[in-house]
Amino acid sequence: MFPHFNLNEYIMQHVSNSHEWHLPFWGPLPLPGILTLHALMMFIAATIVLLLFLVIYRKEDRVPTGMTNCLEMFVVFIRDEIAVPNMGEKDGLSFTPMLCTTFFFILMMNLLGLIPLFATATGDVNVTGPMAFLIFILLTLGTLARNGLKGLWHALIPSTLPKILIPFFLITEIFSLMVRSGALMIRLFANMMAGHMVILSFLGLFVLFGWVACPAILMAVFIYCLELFVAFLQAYIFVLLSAVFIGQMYHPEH
Amino acid sequence: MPTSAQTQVPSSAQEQGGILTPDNTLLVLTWATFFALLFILHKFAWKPILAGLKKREDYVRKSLEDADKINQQLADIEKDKTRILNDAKEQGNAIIEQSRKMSIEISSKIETAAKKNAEEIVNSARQELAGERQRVIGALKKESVATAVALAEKILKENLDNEKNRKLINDAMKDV
Repeated sequence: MFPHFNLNEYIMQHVSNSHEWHLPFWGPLPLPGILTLHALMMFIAATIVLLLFLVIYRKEDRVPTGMTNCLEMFVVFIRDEIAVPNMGEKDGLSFTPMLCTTFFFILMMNLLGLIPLFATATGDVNVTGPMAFLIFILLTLGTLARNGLKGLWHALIPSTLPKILIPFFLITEIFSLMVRSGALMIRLFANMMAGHMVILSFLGLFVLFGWVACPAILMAVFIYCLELFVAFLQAYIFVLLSAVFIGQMYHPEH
Repeated sequence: MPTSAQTQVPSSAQEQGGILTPDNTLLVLTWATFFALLFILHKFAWKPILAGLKKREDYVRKSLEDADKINQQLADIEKDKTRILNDAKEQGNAIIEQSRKMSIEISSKIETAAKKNAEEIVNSARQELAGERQRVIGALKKESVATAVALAEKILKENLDNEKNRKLINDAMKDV
């Protein structure tokens, strides 16, 4: 259909960060200063989350209905099914705001990428990396602040471990902490980027080969629906694993 | 033959850097956005929302406990009601039985009294009847005497002294 169409460039342009926002009819819209496309998407996602909870959510409702009910369902789920079971009653309740913020922030960035013209900020390691690093900080410095050096040591090294194995275990456990946080970063980034790459590849096939590749559009729609599910799933997994890791470090006896 | 998609290097990607290229600005912006979001939501959303949820859960829990208590009370009241109804039925039956007995007793008393009364009335009537009979007999006797005298007068055509006749008749009657 378009013999000079560069599929590789087309996909990379869509998933990469840039200082331009490609809008139809307007052409590329240059973004000012330090603002990049993914940063802009991140701000938009944050604004939507703020709008959802500060404007749309009706706190004074005695019986929640509509959107309030829907949002409340997620909040209650995070509190009762993720935070409290994995971190205990006290820590679970105190970490619920942080986990809720993380969940809705990631979810909104994931969903934003599924809307045409918008981009997926979570398909960028520079967004998922800092989020995962915060979890790493909570796992290490958070444990240190909460349980002290002895508590951190106890969380890393089992008390029944023979002394000769301690150095080996210490290195392994520190490496394990980094891997856990790194896995959080890679999992979210890879899932969100891969989904978009697959959708764009199918759409690219249609552009390259024309109507012969018509079924590719159906496949793109199917992958889009799957991505919608993955958007929720990845936000859930990120928050769930964060709660599990923090719970393991804060309560090593379990 | 390689296609353009395979051979051409993505120029815009090169300009923008690879997808794994670190971007310190975005990294800092991510933290800033997240912490700002966390701060605002913690202050204006999560605190009131979680407090409201806790309040509602407590209210629902208390309401359910109250409902259980009320149900228990209702069940107790239902038991009491059944017991009271049964008692009332038993008492009612006892009262009815007692009333029946009393009514039978009273009716038998009334019957006895009525019989007695009737007997008395009959007796007094008999006595009165007997007295009346005696009076009627006396009157008849007087009437018979007068009639006999009148007949005798007519027959004998003799005017006799009334006193004398009466004496004669009385003497005759005594003989009778």
